[in-house]
Amino acid sequence: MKTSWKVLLALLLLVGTALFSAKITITWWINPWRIAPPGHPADKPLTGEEFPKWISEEFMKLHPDVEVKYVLVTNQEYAQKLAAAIATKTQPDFFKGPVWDSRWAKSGLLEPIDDYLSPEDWKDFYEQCLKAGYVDGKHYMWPWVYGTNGMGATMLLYTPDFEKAGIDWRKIVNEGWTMEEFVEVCKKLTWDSDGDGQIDHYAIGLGAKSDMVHNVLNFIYAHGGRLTNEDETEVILNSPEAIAGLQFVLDLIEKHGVAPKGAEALDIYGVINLFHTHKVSIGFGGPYEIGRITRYVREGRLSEAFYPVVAPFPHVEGKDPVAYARGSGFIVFKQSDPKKRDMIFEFLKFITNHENIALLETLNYLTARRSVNELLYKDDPYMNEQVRRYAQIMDKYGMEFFGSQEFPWSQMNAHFVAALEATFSKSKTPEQALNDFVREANRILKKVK
Amino acid sequence: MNLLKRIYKHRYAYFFLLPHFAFFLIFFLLPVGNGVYLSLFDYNVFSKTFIGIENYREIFSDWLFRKALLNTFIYTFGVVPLWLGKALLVTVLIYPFRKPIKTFFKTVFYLPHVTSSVIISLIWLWIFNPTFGLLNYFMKLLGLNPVIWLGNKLTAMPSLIAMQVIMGGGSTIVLLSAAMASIPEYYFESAKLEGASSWKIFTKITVPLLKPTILYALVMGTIANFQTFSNIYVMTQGGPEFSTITVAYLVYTTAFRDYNLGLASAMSMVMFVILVGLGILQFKWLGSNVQY
Repeated sequence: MKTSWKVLLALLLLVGTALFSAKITITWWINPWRIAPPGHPADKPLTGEEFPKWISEEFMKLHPDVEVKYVLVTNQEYAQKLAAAIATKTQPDFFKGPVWDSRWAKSGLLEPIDDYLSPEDWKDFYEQCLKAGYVDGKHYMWPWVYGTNGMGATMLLYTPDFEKAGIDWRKIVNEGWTMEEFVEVCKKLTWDSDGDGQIDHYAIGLGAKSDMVHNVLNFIYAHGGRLTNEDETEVILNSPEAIAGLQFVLDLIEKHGVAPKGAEALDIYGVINLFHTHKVSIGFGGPYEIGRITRYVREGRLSEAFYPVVAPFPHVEGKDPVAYARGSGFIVFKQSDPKKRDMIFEFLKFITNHENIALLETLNYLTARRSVNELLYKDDPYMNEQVRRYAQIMDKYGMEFFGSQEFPWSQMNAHFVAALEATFSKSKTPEQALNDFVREANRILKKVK
Repeated sequence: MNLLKRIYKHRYAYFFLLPHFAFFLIFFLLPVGNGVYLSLFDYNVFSKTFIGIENYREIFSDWLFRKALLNTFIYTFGVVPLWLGKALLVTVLIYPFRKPIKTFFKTVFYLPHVTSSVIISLIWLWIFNPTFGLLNYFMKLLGLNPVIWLGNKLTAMPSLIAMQVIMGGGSTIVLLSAAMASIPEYYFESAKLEGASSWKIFTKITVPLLKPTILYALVMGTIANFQTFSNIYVMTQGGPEFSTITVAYLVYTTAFRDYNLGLASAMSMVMFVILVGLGILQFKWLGSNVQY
């Protein structure tokens, strides 16, 4: 009897110890964001794993009762890995990736963030960042980054070419340029550099594959075209304004000859590569793209560092230019344990506190916090100027290109790309191509609704 | 009772077959069965509703699926004969050489087989680059106009086929070489003594005796190319204007971009049935007088 009492006591102690020492385990996924944590040697290339490792460890130091596990998922495999994880109910607790789907929120798979945002957060985070995860009256995306990597928002000018062509790039940067001025500038930036009688240097490169639609959409939007009507019940991207915008882009290649042929076969990296290798003088992108130049030089992928300047997209006389703007952040999957849920949000607050969110500076990104952006790049006058201009353009002219969170653009994208391919390969006129796109897009819209 | 007795009698054979069958069951039969099951649902990760054969009805009324199916056939029947012909030609050409030279050529042709298809696709993206690519550089040297190989719907598919034919066939060359080595030398010697031409020897001796290997390569090649994905994914994403979209790529986008797993499963099942049908046809037509 005495022995059994002792055994029972020992068992109770064991169970008690196990219970009290049980750690909350948080798992999160992130795609490779090359953010340098404090103390990272400047000359050591980043792999993308440094930031999640560092931030997880820092959080665990503050919360010894929490175990944080991060998984680095590449952009290419993100969508299928996440879909498979959701299907098999093995999803992480939260993630930051290149994909998310508003249907997850609609079907109750996600945690709304509204109750966890402080009054200061509501004021400090950009509205466009909060809007990025707004579904059915609730917010589902914890803001982290403001803006895309600049595609469709701003242009980058390789100033030595502008100076060589006798163009005042400072005026463009400060005052903007009309579409007509843009064409004239582009003509001056197109030349035969090796004297063989053939054009081998162009003003700008254009691409129609995958993500490049931002840039073409910018011209369409600048001409007054819009993707949908007000309540998103109909796709209207075949309006006369939209057709004029697409015709303008086509003319850059076919009529003015200021962009190389083959836009239908070039993707985003192909176009960026043209800029990096100075085969064109105008690139697409923002501060992140400038950061990429430095990184490529460090990695030996580019031989020479250069310093382009941020400029707005051209505008139609009498109208404002437009800039593609949106935020991105972290998504939390539904939690059954309130204690764990609180801890996940605690971690998100930690990642996005003023000090830690400012680390996005090392990646040349803008943060989702207004107050932090004002302090970024203080020690680097060149970057400070580019980022300030980028933020100004985004703030003044920023708009969403692809509809609200509930709009099924991802299912339409391939049809829009097909329309661009048809336009650039001249198998259809811009009007025919956009008409075909609108028909397919409305069919998808009808099916989804 | 009789059956049990027979099983007991061959118990060791069954015992050794069991692991293989277990793997076959887990990694093939169950996924296929699950695929058939899922294809009957409106299953989009978020919800699952039984809809019977509605997915099949939808894909056959969808012009994009029909186009993808047609493209898949064009790609497969464009690649396989050329690639098999190339393998056969290379095998016959290198056969008379001494062993080290044969090994050298086999290694050279086998190398792309052990290289990542993504890397190969990236290299060919540069070769096909409309403005600064290698192919157009040579075209210009010859005084020809550059071609936007992957941007034109008339040249995109042939470009992909050409790339696959040039890069593929390494493993088939190795297989055919091994099969050729097993043909008794006196067949060729007797034919030569009888005064048979090289062409006659090739068509009347070499090809018939290589038929089992050719059949194997044909079936495996058809299956592999029917499921082609990575080169489409990296090089064209199904474009331009869906001219290179294949069923495998459409399955991928339907499942992982649109999250419509039920529809993607139905597409996969159609592909599965077609492949089984093609396999049976190939065995029937070409396997009639094959001696193993």
